[in-house]
Amino acid sequence: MRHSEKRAGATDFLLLLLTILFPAGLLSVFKGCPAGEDGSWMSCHWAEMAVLGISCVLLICALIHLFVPDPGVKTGIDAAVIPMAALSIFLPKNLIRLCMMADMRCHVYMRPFTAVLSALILCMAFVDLLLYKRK
Amino acid sequence: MELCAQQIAKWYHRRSDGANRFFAVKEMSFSACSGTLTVLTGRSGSGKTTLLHMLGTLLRPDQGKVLLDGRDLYSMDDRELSRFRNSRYGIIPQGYTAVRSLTVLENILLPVKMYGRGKDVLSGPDPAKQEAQRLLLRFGMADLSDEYPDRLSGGEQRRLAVARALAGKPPVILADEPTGDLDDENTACVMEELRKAADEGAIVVVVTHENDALSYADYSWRMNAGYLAAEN
Amino acid sequence: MDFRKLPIRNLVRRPGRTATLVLLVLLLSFTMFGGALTLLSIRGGTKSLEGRLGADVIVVPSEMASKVNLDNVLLMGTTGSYYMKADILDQIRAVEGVEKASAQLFMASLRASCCSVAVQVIGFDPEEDFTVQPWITRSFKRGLGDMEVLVGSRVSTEVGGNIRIYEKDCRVAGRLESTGTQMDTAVYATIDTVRTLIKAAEDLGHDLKLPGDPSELVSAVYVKVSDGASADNAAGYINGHIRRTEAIRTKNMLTDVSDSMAGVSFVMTILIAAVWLLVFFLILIAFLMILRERKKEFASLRVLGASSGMLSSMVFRETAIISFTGGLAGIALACLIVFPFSALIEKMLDLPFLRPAAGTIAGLAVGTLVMCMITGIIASAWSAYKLGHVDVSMILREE
Repeated sequence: MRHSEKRAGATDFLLLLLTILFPAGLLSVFKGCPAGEDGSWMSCHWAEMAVLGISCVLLICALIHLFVPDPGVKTGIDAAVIPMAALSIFLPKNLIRLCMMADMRCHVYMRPFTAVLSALILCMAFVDLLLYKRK
Repeated sequence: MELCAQQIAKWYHRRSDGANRFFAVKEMSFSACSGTLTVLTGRSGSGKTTLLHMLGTLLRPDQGKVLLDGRDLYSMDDRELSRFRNSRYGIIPQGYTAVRSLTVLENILLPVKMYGRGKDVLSGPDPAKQEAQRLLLRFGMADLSDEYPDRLSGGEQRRLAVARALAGKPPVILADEPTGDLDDENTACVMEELRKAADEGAIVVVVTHENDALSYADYSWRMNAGYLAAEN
Repeated sequence: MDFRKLPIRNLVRRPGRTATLVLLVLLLSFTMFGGALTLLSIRGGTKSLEGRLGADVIVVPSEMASKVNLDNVLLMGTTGSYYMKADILDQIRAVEGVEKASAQLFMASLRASCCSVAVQVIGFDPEEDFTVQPWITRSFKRGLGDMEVLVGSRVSTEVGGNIRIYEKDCRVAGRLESTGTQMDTAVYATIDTVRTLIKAAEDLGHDLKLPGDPSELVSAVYVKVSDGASADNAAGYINGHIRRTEAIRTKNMLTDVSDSMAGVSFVMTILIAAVWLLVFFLILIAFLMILRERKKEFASLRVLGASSGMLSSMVFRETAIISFTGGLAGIALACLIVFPFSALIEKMLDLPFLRPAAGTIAGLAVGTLVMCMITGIIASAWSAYKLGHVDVSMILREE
């Protein structure tokens, strides 16, 4: 089977699955810290919003990656996903400050989840890129 | 060079026969010399394949010796015997025996490369590879050299096994029904190549139940219920 | 094409079978490495807790002792806001067998506009303290000044910055080493600084329900008994003679932590053993199932001149590659979960959790990898033997 005939492989679906899990997790189990009693948000909230935004862009990329059969588009999407995923690893804490105590939700749930999902998405895009390069 | 079997026999114990032995090959002697093509014919179950396996170091006889150039083959240990088989024998077994994770060309070159032979010729033209490619062309399989065996037809697999046995130009070639699945044209091709190997100095023994092979033979024998009888 | 490359080719040409086996080994190494890492972290946390707890007896107000789980309060370092008269310290020092006693004063800040973070503030007396002090000096060399604080490793404020507590700015003078306990989330100051902060809170209208003037109050007294004296006797004496206090033997509390650690260890060990057995038998069965399918191919290789040793070693090489790949992937996956989520694991287990040193982790990874390889090789040994010693003549005739 020549590669251009191949419409979607396992990596397409895995990438999509991960990019669906990413925002879904951030919005549910792996939320950051809640608003204070006086309704004010702490700094981790803004990091969370930024990561959520990136995760949605990643999801759109994964959808394009799945539905556009052109290998050029697929490799292009991979090349874009890699730096974006890398950015979202460093966004909470390194670029946008999180809350002060390391046992708060943003440190315990949101940041590790973001790091793990971003790392997996990055690896998946990298593997996909290698698979296309090899053909 | 002479391949020689002295008073060899092979028997099995069958439950239905009580304590009696069932002789697959009854005591016999056999010899074949360099530059000759010997054909063994006979009905199914007459002991042809058993004899061929004993000659080919694959089956230890229950009695007697097999000698190649005076060397008792079954006195060697497994390591030594395996290596000996690799360097001296080209065996074409029955059935489909290709290694499925290797391509056609890699399969043909496997015996030559198994012990690292032919490594020193990587830069220059590799004689075994040239011979392999010549045989593939001869057998009409030149465009299949990068295919995997599971994509081949039965006849193509047979010809692959023949090419694998011949490519390293071993001094002894043993073929068990080499033309089994082949049409007349390919049968002729294969038999001509076996004849060519014999003419170049190899000992060639072919087991078959097809009479066409007899026209290529220097000697022919007939097996009947474990007995060997000369046909001419 | 070299005979030595044949194992790799065999694996690549049968991707489904290879992937299944790799996944099985991945499961094994994930459980072994992740489980052992968690156990070591808990053990490390408990050890550091023992080290930190230089006191033999802790004395707290009796109404406090009845209200909350003291294990959590004192061992995990989750202090509360509770107070007793400071003169109790002198009474305790007079007790026979007491070598050293030092007081601490606790307070909590709020998560509101007055404070930059909700945090426990622990005040200690730099002159007499023997519980916090030795740990502090290890990473902080000079004495702690007025309105200066040291932060636990998990309070993410930069050294040199300020923490606002009840509208008072405290300079962060240093950060402490990680202990793996809740002590890492506290802020440490001199007892005078804490008194100033308590006053500031009261000035802002927060009712801390103090039983007196802050300068005459302490929250807990840490006691060290002299060599040869019995801590049990000292605790008993304090409980009998000093009113409204409760003296607790720290050893008893550590036993509780050890018990729950033993429970977790037991569960983890059983889990690892179960997964090991499961994976071992699954690999064994998988190899036995492919034994039949591969016999013919191995007989062909024998015909071509491969010795039984070469064929057995080919099977072992395939297993080794599978075990190594699966083992490495399992370790990577465990790292990806245990390290980022260590705070969550600690929260769920409610035990001190201190990540072991990098060398220990590397050793653990190598050990896991070796175990995976050994498991794979033992599980495939029978098949390797059978495939190496096929009855060539018989198999070639089975058409």
